[in-house]
Amino acid sequence: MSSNLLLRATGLSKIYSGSTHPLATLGHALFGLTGDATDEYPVLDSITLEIRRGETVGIMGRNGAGKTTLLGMLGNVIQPTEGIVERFGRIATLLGLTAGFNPNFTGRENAYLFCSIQGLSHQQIDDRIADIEAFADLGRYFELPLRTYSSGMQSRLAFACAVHVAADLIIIDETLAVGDANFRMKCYDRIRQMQQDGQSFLLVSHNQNLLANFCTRGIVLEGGKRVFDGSTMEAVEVYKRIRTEAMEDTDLKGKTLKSTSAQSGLDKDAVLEGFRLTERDIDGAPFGVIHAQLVLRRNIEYISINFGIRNHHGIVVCAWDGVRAGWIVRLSKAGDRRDIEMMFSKRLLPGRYFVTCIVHELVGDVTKPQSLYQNILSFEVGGSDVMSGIADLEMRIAMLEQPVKG
Amino acid sequence: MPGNLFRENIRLAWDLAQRDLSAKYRRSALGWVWLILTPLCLLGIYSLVFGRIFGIEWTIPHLSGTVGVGFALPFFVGLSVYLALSDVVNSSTVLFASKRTYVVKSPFPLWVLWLANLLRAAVHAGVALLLVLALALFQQRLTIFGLGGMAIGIVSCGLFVSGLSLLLAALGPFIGDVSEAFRLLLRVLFYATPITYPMTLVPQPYRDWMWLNPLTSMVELLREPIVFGQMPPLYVFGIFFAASLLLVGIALWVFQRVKGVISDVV
Repeated sequence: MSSNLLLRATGLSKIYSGSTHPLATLGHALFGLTGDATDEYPVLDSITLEIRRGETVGIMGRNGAGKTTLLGMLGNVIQPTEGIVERFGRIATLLGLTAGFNPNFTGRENAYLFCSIQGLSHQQIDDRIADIEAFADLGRYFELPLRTYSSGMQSRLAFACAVHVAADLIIIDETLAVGDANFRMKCYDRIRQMQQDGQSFLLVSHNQNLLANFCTRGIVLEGGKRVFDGSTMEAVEVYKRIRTEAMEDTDLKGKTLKSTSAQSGLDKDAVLEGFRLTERDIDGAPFGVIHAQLVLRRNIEYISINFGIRNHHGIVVCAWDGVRAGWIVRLSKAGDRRDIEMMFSKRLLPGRYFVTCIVHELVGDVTKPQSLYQNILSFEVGGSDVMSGIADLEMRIAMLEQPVKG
Repeated sequence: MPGNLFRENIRLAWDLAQRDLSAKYRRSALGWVWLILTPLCLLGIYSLVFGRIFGIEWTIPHLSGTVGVGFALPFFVGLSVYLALSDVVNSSTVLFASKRTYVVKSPFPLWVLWLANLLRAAVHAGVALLLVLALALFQQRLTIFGLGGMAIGIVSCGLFVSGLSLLLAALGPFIGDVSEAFRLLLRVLFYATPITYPMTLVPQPYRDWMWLNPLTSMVELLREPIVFGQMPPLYVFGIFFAASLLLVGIALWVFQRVKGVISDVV
C-alpha cells in the first residue's frame, strides 16, 4: 500500500514576511534573529495531502489562494516554513513551461536543455527527441532559433517536452494545452494515454471542465487553507461556490464553507422556490421540464435566469444564458410570484445529471446574481452504454445493400 | 540513488555552463576567437605602456647583479589571474538574480547554478592558462618543477575562488551593495596588486601591507613557478591555503542557511 505513495506532505506552511527588508530575511536565516513579526503573512497554512501512483490530482483556487506556492513546495522549488514533504520516486516540476528557453537557440537545442533540467541524460534525450519533434509538429521551425517562433509555437515546444519527461509524478502549473484546436486534442490524447499507462499528474488550471475531465481527485485551496479534498466534481462545485461568494465578499479568506447549496453573500431578493422536475413530449421528442416559482422580495426592474445541466464529471453539458437569449422579466413588484418552466431536450447519455440555476438582477449592463442553486435537482438517465461522451448524438452506422463496383 | 542524482546535477551544471558559453558567442562573427583575442589585446597595450614606455620589467638575481625577464610573461600571468577572479566575482554577486527563472521555477538545487557559473569561468581561465603556457614555452621559461608548482597554485586559487563565489552568490540577493562594492574593490585591487609591476618596486612599508591582499598571494602563487620556476615562500602558500579553507567553510555555512529563502527574495 505504502509503496504506491508518491508524495506525502505533512503540515505544510509558508509564511512570507511582508515588507521586511532582505537584510532582515538574511539575519533571520543566518542567526535566527526575529524582527517585527507583525507584517508576516501566511500564504499557506498547514496543508496535508498525499498523492498515490495512478492518481491525477487537480488543485483549484482563486488567484492568491496559494496554488503556485503549494506546487513549488511539493516540487522542491520553494522551501516550506514549516512541515515536511516526503517524495517517493522521481518528480518532475514544470512550473514555468518556457522557463530557461533561450531565444537564440533552436527548438532542438532548447528541447535538449529543457529535458536536461528535468533530469534526463543525453542518451535518454537522444531517444526521445524524435518523439518530441513529432509531437511539437513545428516543421522546419524546429531547427530555427526560438526568436522566430510565435508564442503559440513556443508553448507547443514546451508542452511537447513536458509530456516526454520521465517521472513518476509530473507537476504542471499553467495552461495544460495550448495552441490551436488540433494541437489541444493531441495534448488531451497524450495525457489520457499517459494516465492509462499509470502516469500520475498534479495539475493546476483555471479551466474547470478540463480538470473535471482529467482529474481523479480535486483539492480546493482558499486563503491558504485546504477547504476541500475529494471527488473532482464536488471540488469543482466548492470552487465555484467560493468564486461566487467572492464576488460579494472579497475578504473571504479562511472562512468555513457551508455544505449545502451556498447562497451566502447574495441578496436573495429574487429567489426560486418549489423546484420540481417533470417530463414532457414536445413535437414528439422527450423534454425535461424544471418547474420553479420566481418570488420577488422587493421591486426589481429587470430579472433574468440562467440554468444549466452538468454531468457527473462536473462538465457542463449545456447551459442557457437568459440575458443573451433576450429572456428578461421587466417591471416586477415586490411579492410577485410567477411560475417558471425551464425546458431541455433529453438528448443525454446514461448517467446522473445535475441542474443549476442562477437568478440575476440586471442593472444597466451589469448582471448581479441574486440567488444561486447549485445542483438543486438531479436526475438519472437510463439506457444502453453503446455511446459514451457528453451528448447523445443518435449515432448509428449503416452499410449499403449494393456491393461497391471495383 | 543519491549518488546518481548528484552525478545528474553535475552533468546539468556542465550543460548550463556550455549553454551560457555558446549563448555568449553565438551571435558574434568571430565567436570563440574572442576568448583569445581579448587577453592578447590587453597584453599588447599593457606591454606597450608599462613595459616599453615606463620600462618596467621583472628581474632575477644572477651571478653579478640581475637579469631581466621582460614585462610580458610575468604581467600576463597576473592579468590572467585578475581577469579570472573579476569574472567570477562579478557574475557571482548577481548570480541568482540573473538566473531568477531557474531559481523560482526549477527543481534542481541552487548549487548547480553556482557550479555552472564556476565551470563557465573555468573555461575562460583555461584558455588564458594555455596562452600563458604558450608564451612561457616560447620564452623558454617553463620547467617541470614550475609546472608542478603551478598545479599546486591552481588548486589553492581554485579553492579560494570557489569559496568566495559561493559566499558572494549567497549574500548577493540579500545585500544589493555587494555587487557594487566588489566592482569598485576589483578596480582598486588591479593597482593594489603587483600585476603591472614587480613586488620589488614597492617600497616598505607598503610591501608588507600588500600581502594582506589575497589577490597578491594568488598572483605570486602562480607567477613564481611559471616565470621563475620556483615556489613562493612556504608561509605564503600555507596562510593562503588555510585562509581559503576557512573561506570555503564560512561560505558553506552561510549558503546552507540561506539557500531556502533565496527564492523568496530574488
